[in-house]
Amino acid sequence: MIALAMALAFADPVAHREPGLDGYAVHIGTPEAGAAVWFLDDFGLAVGLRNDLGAVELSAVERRQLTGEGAWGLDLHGAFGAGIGLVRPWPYLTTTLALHGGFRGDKFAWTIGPAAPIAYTFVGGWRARFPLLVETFIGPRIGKVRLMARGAAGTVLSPGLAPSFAAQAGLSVTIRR
Amino acid sequence: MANGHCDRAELIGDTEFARPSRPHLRSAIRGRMRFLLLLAPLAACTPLPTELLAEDASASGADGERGPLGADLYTFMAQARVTERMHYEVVVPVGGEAPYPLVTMVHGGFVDTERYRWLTAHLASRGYVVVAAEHPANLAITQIGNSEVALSDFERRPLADRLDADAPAAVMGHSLGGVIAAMTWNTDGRYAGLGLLASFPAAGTAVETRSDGSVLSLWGSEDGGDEEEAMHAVERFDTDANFARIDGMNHYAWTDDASASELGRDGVATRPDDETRPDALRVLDTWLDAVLYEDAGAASALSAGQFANVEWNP
Repeated sequence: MIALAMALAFADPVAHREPGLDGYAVHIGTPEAGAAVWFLDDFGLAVGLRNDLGAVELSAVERRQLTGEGAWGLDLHGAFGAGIGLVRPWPYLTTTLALHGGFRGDKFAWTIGPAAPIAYTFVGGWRARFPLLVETFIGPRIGKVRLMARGAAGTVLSPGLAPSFAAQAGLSVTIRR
Repeated sequence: MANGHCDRAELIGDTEFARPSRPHLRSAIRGRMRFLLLLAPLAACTPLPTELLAEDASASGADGERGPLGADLYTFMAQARVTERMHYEVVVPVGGEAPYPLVTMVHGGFVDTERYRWLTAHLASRGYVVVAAEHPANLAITQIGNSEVALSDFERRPLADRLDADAPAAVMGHSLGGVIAAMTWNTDGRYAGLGLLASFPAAGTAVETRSDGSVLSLWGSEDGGDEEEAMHAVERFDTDANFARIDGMNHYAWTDDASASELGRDGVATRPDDETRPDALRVLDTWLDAVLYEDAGAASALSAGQFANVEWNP
């Protein structure tokens, strides 16, 4: 089933990757902060801003449950979007693939998996970033509200540059429709 | 484009933006739209400089002393890795005859670039353009490529006409910055010189694979770090590499405003910074002049290794 979502995510669309998201999400963290809204079960849109004001972005998101029945399972997230760098105003495209496995219960959720929020531009020469992160979400659900903490770490590969290290953390609130 | 400030051509490319000729609503709106279009690239423009040193024709420019040129500081923002924003500083010579050779400076761990301005201004006054990139948490190890991003960004700015892109360049770093500088030098042939300021390359950096260029390791006799490892590291280079021990200098003498915490884990300097720094600069200046300006006299002085208050290759 295809759903439509709208989100304030970031250059790396984080909010839409929160486990079991089926409504609205706000995410604050580093290097990103934002929010997301899902209108349908597994498809949406997301817009976002890096908190260093480096870029803004709009993404469409698709989520598929690969395995699992009920709370336990494995989800594949795919997002495609466009953004603009705010320092040197250049447009760029983004693609995110993320694989999340874990438990998404009524009162608690914990997932972990790899995510690769890639961005690339052809303006002023070809440039790209290829982050490879391992990220985890964990937190309780109280009624319609779910509180999630996110942690992620990994490396960012960028052609022509030495790899850089990425450590990310954030908090989010999601509200079920 | 005097002083490298933005001009209209840089902002808007080939498009001609004219002020509306009539106070007509449509023209006024169009004018505002154009103004908004102009706003976006403003971040890419050259900001007004901060004067670190004024020109001083009476300055001798002898090794260890400031040169006669002024030194202006520019702070830029660059778009890094497509989506990130990063800051970097450039200190450029004022007066004299541009272009000048490049020195890339990498700050130490948890030390911001501001604390090296005494050094970067000194180098600029002697005819070097100094580029110093910032890093998250002031840890260069997190984003090793930032110096490359900064230099790439700077080279497309009008101010880059002060930079001699064809001249030999040097990369140097203090403490952790020296570790990163060694990695950069090892892979980037543009850098003929590697300056290690209270630093040495990581064991995993295969510096022995490069057989050209020149290396200078400056180490304070009171540095709280591992001097033995720093000396052994110099032996790993398969090129001209020298080690200079500065009498009485400690690790944080390379930085301004060292905190009590930093000094607490450092050795105790036995001579004040205003004495040890000129001793260190005398060696550094000689080396840079030899490597980047190919100054025969400086090369000869390096070969002799006779510097006051300095043990040369002990």
